[in-house]
Amino acid sequence: MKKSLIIYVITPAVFFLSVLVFLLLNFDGGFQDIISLVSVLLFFIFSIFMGQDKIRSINNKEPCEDELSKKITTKASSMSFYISVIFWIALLLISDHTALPTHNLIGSGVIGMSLIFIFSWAGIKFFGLKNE
Amino acid sequence: MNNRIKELRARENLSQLELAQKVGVRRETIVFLEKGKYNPSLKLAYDISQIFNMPIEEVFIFDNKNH
Repeated sequence: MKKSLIIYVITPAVFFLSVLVFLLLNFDGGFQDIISLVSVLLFFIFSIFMGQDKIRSINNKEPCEDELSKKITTKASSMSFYISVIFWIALLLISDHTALPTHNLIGSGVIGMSLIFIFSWAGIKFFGLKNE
Repeated sequence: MNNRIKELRARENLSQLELAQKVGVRRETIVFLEKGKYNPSLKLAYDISQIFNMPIEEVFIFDNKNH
């Protein structure tokens, strides 16, 4: 129980909380800072939710992963990959017409990909996997 | 595909967690099955039918209209 608590809740929580504090300390009110803050906050909530889910499974003496959870992860990964490809193409097209620095472009892409995965995963959890 | 898991579970006085533990899945999977949000693998369908001592086709009803 203690080990799983450390792996699934404390480690990601400490990591995202540190990033969140760092961002808050360097917050200058810009649009990019707000996007970064919201993204990290979303990742933080997501990791806490995932950790809680795993711990609940351990407490209930049920497996942490089963066929449904594996299918949800696989489907969310494939769906987010497809959307991410379109997202990257759109981002590259936009960058052609704006003076966006390369590190900002890559940062936006990586944050976007992570958010796409979280939303795909949440969508599949909500709507289910019917007839698949 | 429809199923009678909820009805059979109530008849056998089994909770979702108890059924999940018996077939080796998470409670969430049983919730998804009862809500019709997920179609199980053949193995899981077989295991669930075995718990209720019924053939698969009496627990899981194939509905051709949804395909």
